[in-house]
Amino acid sequence: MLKKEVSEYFSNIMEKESDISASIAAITTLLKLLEHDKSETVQELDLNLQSAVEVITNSSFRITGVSSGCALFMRFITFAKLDNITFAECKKVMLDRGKVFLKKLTDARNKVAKITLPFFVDGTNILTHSKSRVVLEAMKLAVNSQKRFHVFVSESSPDKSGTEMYNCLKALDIPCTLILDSAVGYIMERVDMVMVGAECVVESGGIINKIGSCTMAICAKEFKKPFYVLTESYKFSRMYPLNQKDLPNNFIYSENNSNDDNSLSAHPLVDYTHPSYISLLFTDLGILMPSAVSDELIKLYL
Amino acid sequence: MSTSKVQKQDVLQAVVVASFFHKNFWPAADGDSACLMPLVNRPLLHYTLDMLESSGIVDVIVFCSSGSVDRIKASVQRAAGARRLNVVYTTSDTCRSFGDVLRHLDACALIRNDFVLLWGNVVGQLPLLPLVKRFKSLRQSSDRGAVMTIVYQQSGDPNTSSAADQTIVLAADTGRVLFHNRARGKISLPLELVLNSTVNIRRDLIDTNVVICSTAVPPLFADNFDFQTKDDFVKGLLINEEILNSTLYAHVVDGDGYAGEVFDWPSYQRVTRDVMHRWTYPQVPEVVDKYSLRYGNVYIGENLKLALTCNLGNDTVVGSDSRFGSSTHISNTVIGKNCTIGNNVTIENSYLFNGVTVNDKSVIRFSVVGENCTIKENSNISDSCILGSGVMIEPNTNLKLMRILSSDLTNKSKKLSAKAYAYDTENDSDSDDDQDVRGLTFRKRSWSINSCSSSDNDDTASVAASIPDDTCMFYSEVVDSLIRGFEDHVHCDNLILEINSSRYAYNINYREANFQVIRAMLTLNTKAELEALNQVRYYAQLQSKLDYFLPVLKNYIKTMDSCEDCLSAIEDIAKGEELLNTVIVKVIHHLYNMNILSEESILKWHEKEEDTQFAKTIREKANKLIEWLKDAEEETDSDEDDSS
Amino acid sequence: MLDVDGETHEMLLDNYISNLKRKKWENNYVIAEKTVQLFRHFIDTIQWSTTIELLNQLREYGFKITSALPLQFIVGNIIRRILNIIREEHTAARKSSEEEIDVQESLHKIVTSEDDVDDYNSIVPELKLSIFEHLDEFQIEIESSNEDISKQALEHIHSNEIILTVGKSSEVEMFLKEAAKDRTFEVFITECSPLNHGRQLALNLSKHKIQSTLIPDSTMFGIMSRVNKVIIGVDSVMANGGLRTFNGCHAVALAAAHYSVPVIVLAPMYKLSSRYLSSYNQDAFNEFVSPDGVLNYSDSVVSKVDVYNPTYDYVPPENVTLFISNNGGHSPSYVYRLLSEIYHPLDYDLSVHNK
Repeated sequence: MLKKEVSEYFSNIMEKESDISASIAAITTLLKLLEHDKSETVQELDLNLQSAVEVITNSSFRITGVSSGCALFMRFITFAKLDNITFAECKKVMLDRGKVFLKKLTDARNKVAKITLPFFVDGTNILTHSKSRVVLEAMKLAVNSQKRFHVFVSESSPDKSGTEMYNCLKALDIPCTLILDSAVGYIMERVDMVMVGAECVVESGGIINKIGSCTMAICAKEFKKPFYVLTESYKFSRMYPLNQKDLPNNFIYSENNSNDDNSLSAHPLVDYTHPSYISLLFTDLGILMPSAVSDELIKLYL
Repeated sequence: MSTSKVQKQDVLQAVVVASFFHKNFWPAADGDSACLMPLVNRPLLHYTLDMLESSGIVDVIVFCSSGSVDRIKASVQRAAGARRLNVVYTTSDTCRSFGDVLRHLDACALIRNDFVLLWGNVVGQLPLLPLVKRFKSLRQSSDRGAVMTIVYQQSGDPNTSSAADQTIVLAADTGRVLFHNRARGKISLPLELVLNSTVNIRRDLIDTNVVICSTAVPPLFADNFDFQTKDDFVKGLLINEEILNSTLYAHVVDGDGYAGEVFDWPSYQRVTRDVMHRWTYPQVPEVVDKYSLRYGNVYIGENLKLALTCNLGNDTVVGSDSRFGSSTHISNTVIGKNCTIGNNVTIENSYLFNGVTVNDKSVIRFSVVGENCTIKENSNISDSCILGSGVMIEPNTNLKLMRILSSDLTNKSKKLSAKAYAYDTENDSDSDDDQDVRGLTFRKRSWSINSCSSSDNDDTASVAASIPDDTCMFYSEVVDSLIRGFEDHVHCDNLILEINSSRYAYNINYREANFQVIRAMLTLNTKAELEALNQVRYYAQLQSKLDYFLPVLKNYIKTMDSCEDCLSAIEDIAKGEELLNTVIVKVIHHLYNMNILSEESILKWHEKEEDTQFAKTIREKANKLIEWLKDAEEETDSDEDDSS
Repeated sequence: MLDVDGETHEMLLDNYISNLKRKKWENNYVIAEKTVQLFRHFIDTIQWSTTIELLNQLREYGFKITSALPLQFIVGNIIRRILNIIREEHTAARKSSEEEIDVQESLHKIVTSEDDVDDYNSIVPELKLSIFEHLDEFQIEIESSNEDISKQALEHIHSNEIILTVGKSSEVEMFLKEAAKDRTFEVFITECSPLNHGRQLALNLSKHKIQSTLIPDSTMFGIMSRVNKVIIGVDSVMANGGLRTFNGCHAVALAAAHYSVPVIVLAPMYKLSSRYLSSYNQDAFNEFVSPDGVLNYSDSVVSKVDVYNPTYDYVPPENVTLFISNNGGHSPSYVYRLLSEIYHPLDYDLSVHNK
């Protein structure tokens, strides 16, 4: 019963507010669960939360971002357990902290947009891939600050999310051009920088993002154009993939195809970009080098 | 006692003359506070004060007229670079020239020792202390009479008009000024200059109007009331060297800085270009004010609203808080603060001061727009228009080469609209004739790649303009001389002397002189006389005159070239006069008989291919003469053969 | 130097800014010293009771200076360092060494924080004294930075090596002189036109009996195959490990990469900047000075050409092998860590006032 409620609540949020990222939705759901939870001991609470996390990750929505958000929340719970006497008090403290935590995370996108602002120089051409709400937010802020630039968006098939991004940019009155995924090599000499979002940032400093990001990164490196990644800090994950094969299947394929791991007809939805292709990461913790990501994760988890 | 004396001598003063005695910038800036006119959005005076401060000079005396002293004081307070200067203001209402200013300074006795004298329109970055030290040591060691060191800037650009004006002869070792002349075209140098020492003759130096003077300079001006400008002073000193016992030295800026003077629109253009190209570093827009520098010398102010399709070309300065519409092209211009530019506007090679509004579809080229002007839709302002402040130009106006004011101050302007009065230069009798006020140079030659031909054309055009004047004068003088000579039976040698002196006076070259003399000779009759004569009597008179003037002719027509000139002169005259037309062949024959014209020259003239109908008819008439000549030739040849 | 009495803070700031604008202090080291002196005076004379008041006032002055001088990175570095010193002293006094003092923002902080971060809104006794102590240490650190760097010279320069350096840098000069006490090696110095300050270094080194050869900038690639190490000084180190150095250094770094020659950069900590290069057009990064050194004004082509005379060059972090600073050697990818130790992220943007 609990699981069903959790699943419903989560799906509700994801459908109603399309602007919200999956991680935030997951954390909101878990916080809601914490509120309504009737367990008496910390152990029980833990188990409930674990099962809730499982439900969320197995839902039909894309889960690459969700896993890191949930891991962060679990860590948060672990820290809060420490020195309160009664369980009731402990729960109260957790709830308060949780609200603050959530507020900080929802603010993250604005912070990222702010620190990206000086990198929008007048007259630049920017290439981006697929639809990222963080990149959209950053560009919105730049245009409102009287910066003039042109955006090239790649279509990013198979789900044509690039076209969605193109429409959003057009609505903001930003001059943009939609290009084919295969035209990335052609357009690279004309752009001044590449700016993408990320679904997940791994410990090595690399990113997991919509399929096609890796190609774009390699191309950018060859043409010596900076490759910038805009992301929030809760997307940092403890994974350390060494190559594309190391990515877990449930990341790559959507739920419908997860049974078919050997079939070539199933198209992967994400790919892994090595940190050596990334110039800078713009996060709400500041501008980071790819080598700094592992530092952050170590500080948190060890 | 001695320490205080030493300290007193070490204080270096500078005198800034902030009052200009010309109206070159009118109406964009009025004469008295023209030093506050903005150059790249910063008053000229600020540049000067900045230059002084960075050289380490602390005591500055500013001279201005009493009407503008408040404005200048307020401006100096605002100057960021002038906070550490001790500025003393001295004013006077009676000064009408540079010389008057120095006399006033002498009277005020503010100068204590060697000082730097400059005008308020000097822009640059020049370390002045080493120059002053050098001048001081010069005075102490080698030349006690050294009075002034003039600072010149070397210019490599032959089209800079101010450089082409001056010829300066400097002693090669000491840099002493030996000769100075401000004249275009030819000049004569006295031979003694080059005989005794090695000299440099420079025609590429531009005046920077920065001079290092000793305390003897103001008294010199006070003693000689006819020293009105600096040029007078220089000339006076050079001529009266022994009497006044004062010498001038020159310093040429070469790699140790830059100094430029802004005294008319072409120099304004040149110095603006130099500031944008950073020759005056660190007095460049993004260091002294809040601009950011982009590639191509584009300086962008703060808080700008640029439309997406607005295009900023090279060498552009855009002041803060301005707004630009779409499809607008701006290049090679300086735009002040708080300007509003509409859509589809083109602004090129122009200067807009603060607060200007330009509405849609207008075009501004090579012009200066004063403060707070409004230019409405679809106007075209080009070719060196100067607009004063507050002018409002109605939609669909086309303006070229005009100066516009916002109100009718001089009662001589033509009203264009409610707030635009065009100043009419022709009807103004007050304007100084000897100062040719030049507008912005807008002909191609001063901006883009110079092709030699275009510059030559312009030169010959200007020279050609003067030729008719001189030659006409010469011609009429010769006519007068000849008429008088014939009537009074003046000896021909005297006539030759008279004609020669006229020739030198008008600077006519040899061939031109021949041409004109012959012309004059053939046109000695007045119109009235000519009507009275018929052909035969006309010819008789002409012949007698030619006989009388034979020695004169012999003197001028000696060579082949001069024969050619003679013949072309005859042809030229014949075009105009009916009577002469008929007797032209006889004239040529007569001249041949008198051994003035040689056979070869006549034959050559005849063979010359000419297109005009008139020339052909003349030559046809002369055919008979030519045949006779040719026969005569053969006879003489055969005679020679026979005799040999 | 500071004639203090009677001069308000405004006037001091103005004097300081105009001295910097007129290039009165050429050396980066002198600029750092003057900045520390100025801010020490401010801390002494500003009326403050809580730390946040002091911080806000200093941030305001810092913002004025950095916005008037956007191209002087050293000034921003020193200001941020001083602000961090104040924050550290405050936190140390309050927390009284219970936990490890970490002022930095991190995921860990977000997760464990008690409501919000320390807002410095409390009065800490004896704070001024401890700040001045720390400032003194900082000043000593600046003064001795060159010596500290040159102490590591023997580890990096070996006998019979051929070293290449660009222009004249005081760190490199001291480094080489220190190494020469014990080892013999050869130095090639590029002239670094148009200012040609390489000549002065060649003169100084040869007076010190170090075998040095002065070469024009263009021949650098030709001899690179014989060079063992490239040692260069910098104007600033950017936050991503890139460098802002003399013009011509990027070419030297690329040539070194081609021949796999290590590039060693000598940079004291006060030259470490929190800024990134935001555009390859180098707006607000490079200083273009008068074209006098490149083309004479009396040259007739002056009106027909655009002449650029940039002072600095950007060298990307991929081309740098090692940084040697006064507290040891680091790799370029470690620069972010050094940054987090000496500056606080709230101070990166001085225009925002914290309440």
